[in-house]
Amino acid sequence: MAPVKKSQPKKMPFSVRMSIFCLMVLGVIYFPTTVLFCGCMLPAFVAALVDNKADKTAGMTVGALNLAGTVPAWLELWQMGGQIEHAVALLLQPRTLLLAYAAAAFGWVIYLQVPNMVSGVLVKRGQKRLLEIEKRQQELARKWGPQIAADVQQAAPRKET
Amino acid sequence: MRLRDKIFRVFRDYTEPAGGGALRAPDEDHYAVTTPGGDGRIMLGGEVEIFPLKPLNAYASFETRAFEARDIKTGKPLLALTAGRGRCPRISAVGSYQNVKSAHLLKLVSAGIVEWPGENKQVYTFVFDLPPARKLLPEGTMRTVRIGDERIIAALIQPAVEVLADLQAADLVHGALTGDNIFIAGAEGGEVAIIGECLSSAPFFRHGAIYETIERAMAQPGGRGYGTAKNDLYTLGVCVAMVLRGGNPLAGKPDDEVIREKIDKGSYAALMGGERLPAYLTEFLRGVLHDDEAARWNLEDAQRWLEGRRLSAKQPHNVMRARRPFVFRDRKYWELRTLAMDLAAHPSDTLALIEKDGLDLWLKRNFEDRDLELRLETFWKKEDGALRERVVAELVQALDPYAPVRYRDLSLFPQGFGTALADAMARGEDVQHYAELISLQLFNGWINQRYEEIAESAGMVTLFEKCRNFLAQKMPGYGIERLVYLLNKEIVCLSPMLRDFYVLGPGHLLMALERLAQRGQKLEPVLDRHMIAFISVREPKMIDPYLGHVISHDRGYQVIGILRTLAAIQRRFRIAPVPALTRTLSAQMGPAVERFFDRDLRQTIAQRLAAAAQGGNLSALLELVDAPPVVQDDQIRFAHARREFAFLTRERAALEQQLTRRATFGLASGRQVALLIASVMGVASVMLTIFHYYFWR
Repeated sequence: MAPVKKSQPKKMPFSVRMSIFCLMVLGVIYFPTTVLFCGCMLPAFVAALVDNKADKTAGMTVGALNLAGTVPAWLELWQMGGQIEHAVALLLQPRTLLLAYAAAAFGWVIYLQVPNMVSGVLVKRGQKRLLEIEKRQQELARKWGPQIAADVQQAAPRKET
Repeated sequence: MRLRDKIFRVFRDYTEPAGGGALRAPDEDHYAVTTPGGDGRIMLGGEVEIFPLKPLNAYASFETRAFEARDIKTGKPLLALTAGRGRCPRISAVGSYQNVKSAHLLKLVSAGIVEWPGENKQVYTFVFDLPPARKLLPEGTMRTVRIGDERIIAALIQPAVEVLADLQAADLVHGALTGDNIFIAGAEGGEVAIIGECLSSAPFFRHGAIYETIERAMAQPGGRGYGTAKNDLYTLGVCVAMVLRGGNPLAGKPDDEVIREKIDKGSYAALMGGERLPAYLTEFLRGVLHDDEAARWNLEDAQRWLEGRRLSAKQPHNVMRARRPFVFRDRKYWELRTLAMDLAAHPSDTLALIEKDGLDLWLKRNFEDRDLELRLETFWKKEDGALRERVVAELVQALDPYAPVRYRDLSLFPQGFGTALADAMARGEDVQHYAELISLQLFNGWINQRYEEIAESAGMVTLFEKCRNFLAQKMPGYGIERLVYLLNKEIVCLSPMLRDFYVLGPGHLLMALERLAQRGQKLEPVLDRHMIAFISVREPKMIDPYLGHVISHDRGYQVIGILRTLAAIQRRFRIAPVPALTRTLSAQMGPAVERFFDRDLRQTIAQRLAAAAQGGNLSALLELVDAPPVVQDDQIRFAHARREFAFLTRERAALEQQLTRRATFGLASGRQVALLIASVMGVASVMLTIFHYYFWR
């Protein structure tokens, strides 16, 4: 038996590494903003961490609204001067976290409810489509006879093997 | 307007009643069939009236029936003769015969196919001048009309030779110069012969052994072949001999005894015996009755003799005789011809004889003939392992190469094979032996032995090889049926379905089918083996392009092939509408309609078929099921429909699989939607916040 090659870990593309590096540099340069964002965007990070789905959309869904809730505090920080003590002071204000976390909570609601609603609509649509397909195939069979299904019947045994 | 409707619009034109695009009536010269009028009278060609209830049995012979007839214009009495199918009446010779203007040949007034009243049958009828009542040798009698030696030339020989010369000029032989077919006009002392007709059967078909040369007498009547003027002169010589003897000197003797006597004594001596004749008559008879074909007189010789010129004396034909006789079946044989005749007649004894070697020894000791030795050498080489009947046939052929080919119960010359086969088939006889004769290539041996002497020998070999190839193919259109029509240019179609019709060509065949359909007869199959072979030989373009369809096992293709053929015939020969036939065919066209995939189209075609069937136009019927645009369009649409069905099936399978996992179906899409909603709301909210902070505060 041939030796199984171990799959080598995917190397992160250079652009991504560069972006992360730039973000880190910006984070250091604008440290107070970074502190404020880290504090307010905690729910987004948590959502990203706990997301066990393949598409990994929880972090972004919650993060979008979480960000919306964080932006007022961020603007206020800029107005105040953008110092670290201002950032801490804002973080200690219940209003700041409340707004950010409430927005994140809304994001969770959207993340949890909207897929179910969409799924229900798609199921209904799928069932309707099935009915349409059946009706069309019956019409085709009536017009063209049973030999119209010849291709399908020939393919079916192949599928089973 | 859809493509299908555009095409069908054209079809409507074909279903209009006569006058609105229908086909015109057929040309009378070719396909006229005379039917009795409402009053039962038969008017042939508009000039002659035939009286089917007034037979003239005195003139009936050899399967022809004779009836009174009358020239309508002049009131002159005429003679109508109806010909039997199997005897191959010489229909194609009618025109040439009519052009022979000889006062001594029975004149043909009219000819054509007649629907005989009371019998529901078509027969070919010839109408001649009414011949004199006296025959040279009436049937049932042994005495001829008395004509003295001094008058016989003027009364019989000269008129007959003139007739034969006129016929030769028209490229015809007579082939029926028998005593009961020569009529004597004029009072005693002023007799003159009127030669009877020769059209109601194939040449030399009606001759007994006495009227034929030794070799030709050995052949069965239909197997003698077309013959030549020399054969006619021989027959004339026999008639002259009978008159000089006062009757048939060999009357009452069976054919093989007649042949034996001719072989033993020679034809002249067998007929004239020791009768003393004037030298000029002896010269004539010795010349025309010579047993050596090469030395026998032809027409030029006879004409020179009539002019009074002396011709070189013909020595009697010397037959090879053995020093010691050969005993076979308690009979002694001194020469080979009669031995060959009897060997052929008793094949089992012949085979036993071959195994004993006695024959071979006798031949070597008694005959010093190089040609015979070569022939026998060839025979002995081929003898081992050959079919027993073939062995006998080849042995007798080697012994007597001028005799006809004798195989089983057949005895015929290659030139007469076609006529004999047609006669056998017309009588419903088993023709298996004829097929074997061709397959075993027995004619090749006969032709090769006389290759230099026969003018058309190469052509005959090629023709029989072609026949062998056709015989090997068993499919309809080939086989033994094809041979009949290939070898007989004027035989009717011998299909059992058409026994009541005189079908001479594909146009006739179509009209016969229409009549059969009118009678309510089930046409299954519409075209049988005989009809297919008949059309293929007579008019290959009408059927050969569609033969694959006609003989197909697929019923739909078969019907289309038949329709194509019959429609082509109707167009080509401009036959009038055939509504009964189209109705019959439309009832059989189910499988052809079933070829279309579109069921709606099938229904439409079926409805239009019912309408088109009433019109009698076969092309219209064909267009409904065989129009290439419609057929192609149906196939293309079916292919599209099939692809669509397969695609829908795959989609259905995928959907059903997804719906089985209902709990998770659509959740991934839902999450994407949730992300989108959240993103839009987030962006909107951020922009509002920024706007609020910078413009409203």
